[in-house]
Amino acid sequence: MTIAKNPKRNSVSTSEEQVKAFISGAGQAAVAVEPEQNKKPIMIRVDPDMINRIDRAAKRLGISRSAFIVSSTAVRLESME
Amino acid sequence: MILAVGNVKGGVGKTTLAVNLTIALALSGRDVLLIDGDEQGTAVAFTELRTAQKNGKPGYTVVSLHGGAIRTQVRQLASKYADIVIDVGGRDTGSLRAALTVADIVLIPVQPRSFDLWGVDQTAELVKEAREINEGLRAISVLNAADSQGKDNEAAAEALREVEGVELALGFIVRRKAFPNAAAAGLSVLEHDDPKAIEELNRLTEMLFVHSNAIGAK
Repeated sequence: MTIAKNPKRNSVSTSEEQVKAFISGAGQAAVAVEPEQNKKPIMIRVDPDMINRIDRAAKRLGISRSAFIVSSTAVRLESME
Repeated sequence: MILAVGNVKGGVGKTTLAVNLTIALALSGRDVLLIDGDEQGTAVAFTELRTAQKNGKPGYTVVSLHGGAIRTQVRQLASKYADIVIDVGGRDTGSLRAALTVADIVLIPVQPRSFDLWGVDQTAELVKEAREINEGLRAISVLNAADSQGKDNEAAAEALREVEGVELALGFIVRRKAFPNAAAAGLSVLEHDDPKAIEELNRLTEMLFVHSNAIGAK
């Protein structure tokens, strides 16, 4: 077996976070991701710039891309219902 | 000293290392608190087994704590123990993050496999973020469950040396049957029969707790 370098390695700088925000950053991910057994995967096409914006926002909140999209959609849906 | 043993990737042997380091400290006469911050509760389960094996005296105290409580409790308990070892992670959790805000050192066990190595970058990123809160946090990776021979250990070490903000511990912890065999009996490898495993664990313990103390960690 050989050792491959991480193709995803990058040097994105992190923003200032308060202790609570830092700690709860993962907690939000856990809350959003835990009920995943019942979720269905979907494929959506997204503009690369939008993906970058989503990833930056998700990173700030300490949650995954998927969790960010789902939670943002949930907020939007609630406002419409 | 407050040592977090963590990695955002699971299955890297962090609980095994955490309990072995805890017992190493306890055997050297230090008063140690082991915090099980992993939802699987393996460190607590191990300690229950050990307590039964050792006639009610495991040699250290274990508590199960999660999320922000790890930070608040560690700050309260730090003065009551010589050392605190926190077993956290397996993924990016509030517990791992909380531990990073109070630890002197985070020890990141890494197996010499590509996927494990890639996970280190994510942990390193988290460490970098945590340093904005806990400025003095040192991050040390250790090659764990390393191969007994072959070139992968050195290749992995080379990759680990490139990770920004994370030091690499000297030497490897080789995958040896002594670790699971000792654990199954509620023991550390120091209380078992493999001299090589004992030597490797002792070297890591000394590096973390003797030399690090000498260079200024609390």
